[in-house]
Amino acid sequence: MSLLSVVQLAFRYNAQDNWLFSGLDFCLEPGEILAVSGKSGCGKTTLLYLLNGIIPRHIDGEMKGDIKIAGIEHNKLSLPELAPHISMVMQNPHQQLFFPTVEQELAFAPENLCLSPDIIEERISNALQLLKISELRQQETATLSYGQQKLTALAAIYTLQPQILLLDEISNGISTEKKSHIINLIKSYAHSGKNIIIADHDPAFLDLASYRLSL
Amino acid sequence: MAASAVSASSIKIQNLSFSFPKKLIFKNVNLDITTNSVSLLTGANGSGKTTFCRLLSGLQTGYSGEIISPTKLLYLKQSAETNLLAATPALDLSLWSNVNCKIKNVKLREILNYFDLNEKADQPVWELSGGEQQRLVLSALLLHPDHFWLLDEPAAGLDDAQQKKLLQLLQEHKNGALIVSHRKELFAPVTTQVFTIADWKIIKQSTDGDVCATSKLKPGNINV
Repeated sequence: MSLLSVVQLAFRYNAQDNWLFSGLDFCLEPGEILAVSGKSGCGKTTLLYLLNGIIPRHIDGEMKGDIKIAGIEHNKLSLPELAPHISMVMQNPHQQLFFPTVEQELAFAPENLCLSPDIIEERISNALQLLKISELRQQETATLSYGQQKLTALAAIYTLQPQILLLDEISNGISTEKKSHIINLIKSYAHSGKNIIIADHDPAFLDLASYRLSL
Repeated sequence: MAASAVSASSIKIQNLSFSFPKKLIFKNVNLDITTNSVSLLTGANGSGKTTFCRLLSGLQTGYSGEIISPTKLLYLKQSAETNLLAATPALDLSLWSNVNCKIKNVKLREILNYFDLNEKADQPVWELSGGEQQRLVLSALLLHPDHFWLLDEPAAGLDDAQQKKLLQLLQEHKNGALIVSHRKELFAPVTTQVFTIADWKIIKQSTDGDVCATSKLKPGNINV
């Protein structure tokens, strides 16, 4: 059984005559990376919002087709139930960070999974080390630069360890050095059997994928 | 600094130092940024690139040293939505056309057309994608050809075709720009100076003039 299967997916926002996309079919087996490419405005972010459940729960529109996560109908799960399966690093980190410090931001997801303090600590320090941002641990999120906010948002989703990790324009505002850390993180995450869906314009990230979906 | 020593062709930074509480950002930075060509500023995440833009644009005060600019400056911030002013692309640009814009009889629809936003002219800006919002923000450049452009990660979210349009705009711009970006290769065809922030200083890197010259974009027409 595929971890994620998408069948004949179509979507349009309210008040729009045209479908943003229609007839999308794809599935992911463990360890596969999918790249979503296309011109700006073609619906890359919308597709990721559909997959992680923000659409239609918080953003209205008309949707057709089916999304199944590990065989379960996507619409039968609440957002908190969906999060450990599929979670997203948003394009704009301002929309994602809401705790005073980096450490608290990274602790939020594993605390809500009721993990033991030892494992929470392990996940936090592991995420910080992978991205080489351990020095930011006690820093206030409000004082981070844009690139540091993006890295923190990625680290915070990484501590959740979702089965499917959605990355929306993760390359924006990231230095060449940090990009290589993110690429290593993506490769090792996929190697451990997880899935990553990358919506981006940066070839270095699109080329990591086993498959490419052009919208 | 005596006004007579100000060169008309560069922004002069003299002995600039700036700190946030508990964090030193710049220490005695001295720099000339030419105002008739395009320069690039790079540096690690968190090194102070955006802070430097805020200092240049006057949004950040509390520094020591001098920033002497002979030119009007248009600063487009890193995150597209922080630059948006109004509810629709057409209204947004109409506001920009009232801010230090010298172009007479602005045809907003034609300006929106440059970055292919004509069909979105009256759509609420919050319904635009990240890349579309970025294209709208960049459209303001077309209204301000007489300004020095300060652009923080201007290619964020742009596809290849739109990146080329941005490069063409920069190539034809006469009044200089400082681009903050990690994507040195992308902007190499239009860049004449590269600066890097390291250890609280801003260092000018040597650029290979021949490489820059041979890879220049062909000039084209901007239909505005």
